[in-house]
Amino acid sequence: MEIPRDDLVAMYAAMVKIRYFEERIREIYLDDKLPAFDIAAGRIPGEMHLAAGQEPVAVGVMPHLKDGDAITATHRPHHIAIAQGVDLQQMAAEIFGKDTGLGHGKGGHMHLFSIHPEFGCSGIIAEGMPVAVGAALAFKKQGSDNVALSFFGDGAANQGAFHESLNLAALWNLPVVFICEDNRYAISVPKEASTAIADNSDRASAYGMPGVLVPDNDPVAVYEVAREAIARARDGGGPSLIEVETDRLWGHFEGDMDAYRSDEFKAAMAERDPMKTYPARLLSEGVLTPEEQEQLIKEAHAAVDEAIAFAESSPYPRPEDALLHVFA
Amino acid sequence: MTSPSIGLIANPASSKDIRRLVGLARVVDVEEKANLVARLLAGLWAGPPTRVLALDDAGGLVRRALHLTRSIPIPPVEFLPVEAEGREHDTRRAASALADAGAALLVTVGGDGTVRSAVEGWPEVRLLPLAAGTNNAIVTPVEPTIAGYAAALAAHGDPASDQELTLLRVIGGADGPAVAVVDAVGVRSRWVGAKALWQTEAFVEAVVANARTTAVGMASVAAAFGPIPPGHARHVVFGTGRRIRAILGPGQVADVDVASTRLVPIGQAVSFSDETRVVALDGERRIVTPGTAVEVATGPRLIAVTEILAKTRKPGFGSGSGEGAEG
Amino acid sequence: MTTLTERKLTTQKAIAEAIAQEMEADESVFVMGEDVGVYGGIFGATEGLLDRFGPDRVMDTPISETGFIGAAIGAAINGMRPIAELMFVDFFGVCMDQIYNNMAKIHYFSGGNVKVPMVLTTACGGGYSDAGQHSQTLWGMFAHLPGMKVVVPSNPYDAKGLMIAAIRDDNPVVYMFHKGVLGLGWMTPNPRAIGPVPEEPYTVPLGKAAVAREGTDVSVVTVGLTVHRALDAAETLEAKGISTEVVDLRSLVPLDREAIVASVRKTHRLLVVDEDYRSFGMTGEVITTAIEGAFDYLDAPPARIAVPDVPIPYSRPLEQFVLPDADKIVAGVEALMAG
Repeated sequence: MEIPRDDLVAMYAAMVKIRYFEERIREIYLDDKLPAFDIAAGRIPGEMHLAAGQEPVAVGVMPHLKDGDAITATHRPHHIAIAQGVDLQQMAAEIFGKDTGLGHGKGGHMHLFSIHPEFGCSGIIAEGMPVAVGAALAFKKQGSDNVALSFFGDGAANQGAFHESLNLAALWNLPVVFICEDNRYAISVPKEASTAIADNSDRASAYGMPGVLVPDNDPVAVYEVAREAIARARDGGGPSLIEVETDRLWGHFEGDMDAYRSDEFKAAMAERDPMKTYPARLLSEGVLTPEEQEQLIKEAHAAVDEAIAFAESSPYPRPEDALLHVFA
Repeated sequence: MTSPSIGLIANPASSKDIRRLVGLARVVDVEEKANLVARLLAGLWAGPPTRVLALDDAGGLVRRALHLTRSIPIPPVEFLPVEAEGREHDTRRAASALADAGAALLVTVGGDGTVRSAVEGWPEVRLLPLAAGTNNAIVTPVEPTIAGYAAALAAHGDPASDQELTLLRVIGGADGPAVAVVDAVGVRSRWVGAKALWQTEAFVEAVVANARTTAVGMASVAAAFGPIPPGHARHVVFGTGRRIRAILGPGQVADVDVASTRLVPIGQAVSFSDETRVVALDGERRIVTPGTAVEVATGPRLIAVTEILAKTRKPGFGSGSGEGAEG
Repeated sequence: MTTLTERKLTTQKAIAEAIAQEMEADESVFVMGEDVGVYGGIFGATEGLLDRFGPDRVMDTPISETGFIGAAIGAAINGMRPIAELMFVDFFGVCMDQIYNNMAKIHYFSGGNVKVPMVLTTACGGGYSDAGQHSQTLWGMFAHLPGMKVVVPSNPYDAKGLMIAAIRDDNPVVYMFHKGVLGLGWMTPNPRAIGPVPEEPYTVPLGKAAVAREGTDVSVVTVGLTVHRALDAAETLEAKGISTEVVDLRSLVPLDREAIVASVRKTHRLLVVDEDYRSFGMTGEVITTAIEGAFDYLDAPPARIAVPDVPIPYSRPLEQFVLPDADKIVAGVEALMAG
């Protein structure tokens, strides 16, 4: 079936929002830490893991989700949360540590939790995967046709939780789709140095589920595969594993010198930046006119600017609020 | 005189696409492929002396096969000076390098897409394609050890017994010169996306070559209208007309409506209609410009393994040292 | 509310009854763990549940603690009330991230928006030669980490009430049952493991200690099986003219600090008994609490009996040497009275 124009455009709009959000966060993050980098300083202190380049994996799955579907993600969560429609203002405020944030400042960038839409992330590699399995377990018990999506990276595929989660999901035939964002690096360690086999999608059959490799960092390719996998899960067909070869354009964390990747590698990534290739195709296919594109970019940027302004102008929580919310 | 070279290209990416979800296609994982290569190497040694010139593929398949065969005799294996990037063009570049290096023939481990890329890089290639793909329409359906033995014989023997394959040359595509060895299917979709073809309602037309009656895919559509005589391809136009039950892929049975068909001899071209926005070559979509055409040509050859083996004593009847086993 | 009843249950059966009653009352309660179904739990905590409620609600899991405890968390976030069993508390090592980084912290990270209403049940304790990886108590460690409630029942009545309260609590509760208090037929008989248990569902509040025995000369504060040991010691001490108050904490998180302080203010002497490792644990916490709240009331420095900082050894004389027992408690109290 032809891909609806609305989906094609919505994916692009989300990509623009994501890329601009990551750029603005990066700018602010680094801005008041230099000249001598002090990780504790500035309006956004601590670690920061940005997803520029990985937009296609996040936006490709979103058109197939519905109300009540659950997502768990990783320490590099922004693109997924934005694509899913997590409240951008509250998300930005949480990253800035403000009281108006998703967690009233208690979670920060690696621990973003939203209820509508249902989104959560874990800073511990692979440990969000069993939680997604649990959401799918609940959906099955409740008789709903909701699905859970579990995002993780190539590095996570060697952690025990990955293997336990896939086995459980297949054993109990749960409506969960596992999505591996293969950006080929776990911090500085390339996949060839960490993983005994070439493709983590191969591991799927060892756990009794189909595995699909998407070798292109292309939202439409992800869209087509995700559509099938999510429909299958909703239909009672059980779990599957999708591995997408994507690009982490920047370092593992902001401040990472990224010296372990060659200039040629980085140049090649820049060449195939989905923010260039995807809109070029939309324009050449007449899905978007240049005027529409400009308008879309304007709106996406405005939403991000508004969210960041909201975050900047929001108050910090009172210090003693640190003692709240341990127990319900 | 140096032994003839056997070109080897193993594709780590075959058999992993969306057809695992939209059909019943299985995954052929890297271990399985490495095992195929290992068996091939063992079988090559059984025949007359050869050496192997291989692509050092991005999945480490050949290296893994070398590890698996470390304690058994195999021919010497050398890697091509082609850096594999884990992209489709690795196969094309490797095939082209093998042509330049004067390799006697090419063994592929992959599917029809792998064969396609290889032929694109080496249009006159002598092929021995081992099945590690989804449809495997162009294939040597023989256990890889035996295939290796036959390949060694073929490298020393007479190419006259090779089967000539029809080739489809794409003229005017957006991505530069391209070929197909099984089919070129025009679809209404404008997107390359997940590349595979499964949505029959989007089919506009197809040009099908080399359609064995036992093959799945477009070949099963073309074959419904009778065998394709050598030196021809069949142009199929989809639309109201005759409904055919086709087996489009593993576990994928679909009814398609065919409005008309005709045979197209070598030398003639088929122009795609304006409805065709994207053409899938051997099962993978790529972009086209309006006015793209497919010319029926010839070029690659399939090594006739059964005939070669029939003319030859099998190992066990010869000296067992890997020499002098020709018939 | 308790009803006078003649009916007595072992602690193990009281636990199973509590879970069954809550599963009856609330569809969203389900159990998962290794051997909880067909076997009824290695220590019988889920006895009879599979037959009554079926495999969808009583799920035998593979040996995948990270997987199924994480799944319990995800299910709890999505409207269910799971009870996940960690077969032996000693196994926490293979799944601790899910417990202390997810289960215990998600509510906090989400600023109170996301609740994780689950119970993590686990068997703990030694004394029957199960050696170093199957005999620990470890409640000090769970209590030390923020975000999870920790309860340790010592008797059948509390076991049922605390379990029902734990299931109904919207927070993650680590429910630790000492194997020696269960009254299992295949363990050394323990008369204190059987007691009256009302038939109807009832709760025992989390975070409230109980005075198991009133006394005036010394407060022995403890939890789990050593409550029984302390009660035995108290009888011996009674004959020697020493009146011993035994405080059963019942919960470590929340810790009933008022009860500790009130008891010490009354008796002026404190002996803390713990079957967990001595250093950096429960005894230090209780003693500090007493000092903070009742320093001026103390007639002697507080004392403690705990497992010395060694792995639990296998051989009977070695294991009996490290574990607290009634004799050690008697000696400890006498030393306090003398000093």
